Amino acid sequence: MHIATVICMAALAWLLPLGPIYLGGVVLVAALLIYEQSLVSENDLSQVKRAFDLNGWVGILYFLTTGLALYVG
Amino acid sequence: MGRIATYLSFIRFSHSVFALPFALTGALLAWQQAPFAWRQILWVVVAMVSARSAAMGFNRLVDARMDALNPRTAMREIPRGALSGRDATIFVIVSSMVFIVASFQLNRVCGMLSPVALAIVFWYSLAKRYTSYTQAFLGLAMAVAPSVVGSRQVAPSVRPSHGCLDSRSVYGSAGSTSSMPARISTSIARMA
Repeated sequence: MHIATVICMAALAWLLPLGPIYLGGVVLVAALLIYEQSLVSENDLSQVKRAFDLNGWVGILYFLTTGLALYVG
Repeated sequence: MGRIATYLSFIRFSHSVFALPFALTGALLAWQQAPFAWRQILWVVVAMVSARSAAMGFNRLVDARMDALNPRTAMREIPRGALSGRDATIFVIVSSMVFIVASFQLNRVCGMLSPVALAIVFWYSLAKRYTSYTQAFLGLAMAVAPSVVGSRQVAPSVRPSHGCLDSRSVYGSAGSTSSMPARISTSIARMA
């Protein structure tokens, strides 16, 4: 699901002229999602809350990099 | 003050910050095609927070009986008696009305669409009774944030970029336990 998320984010750059800053933001979001995935496994759910909270940072990071791409890049 | 804190806890108000950036990202994109106005930021935030509050309140309300039976959720505001069902119902109605008013403040199209957005976010709470793919509907509920609450409220036309942003939100929030076909069809329908 997170892979599909990143693909959809990247697809937005195909539809709109968002430039390298936006794509850099997508890469950072992808890295954050990979880290999020690494926190939780089938046998260890102790970090679920931490992983859930990371979603907030994903949103903030995506918003900031999209804003930078639109108004600075 | 204690009463306000109870209501804020009831809807996990602090988590609004999680959803807000998605709505604002939709607005950022829409401002590429429509003139910017500061008042729009205010109304987008009001719409986003009120829609989320209504949805959270509705979720707690319809689940109250089951929450009382589950040790993990038995201490939520309605099961433990901090809020009555009537209080919660009034809260949901008021939040919904604020959302509709905020939507009309942005433009007429968004105002007309606001009940659709409410139906989507309320449906999530009921979907869990009928399907194990509930997360797909939660994803859809979050997807209307950039779409209905964000971008459409600033630029009320439907564009492919909105659909793409929607699908990103659907996939992102739905996590790992949802229905791929449902989400793909939703995204494609929105992009069409």
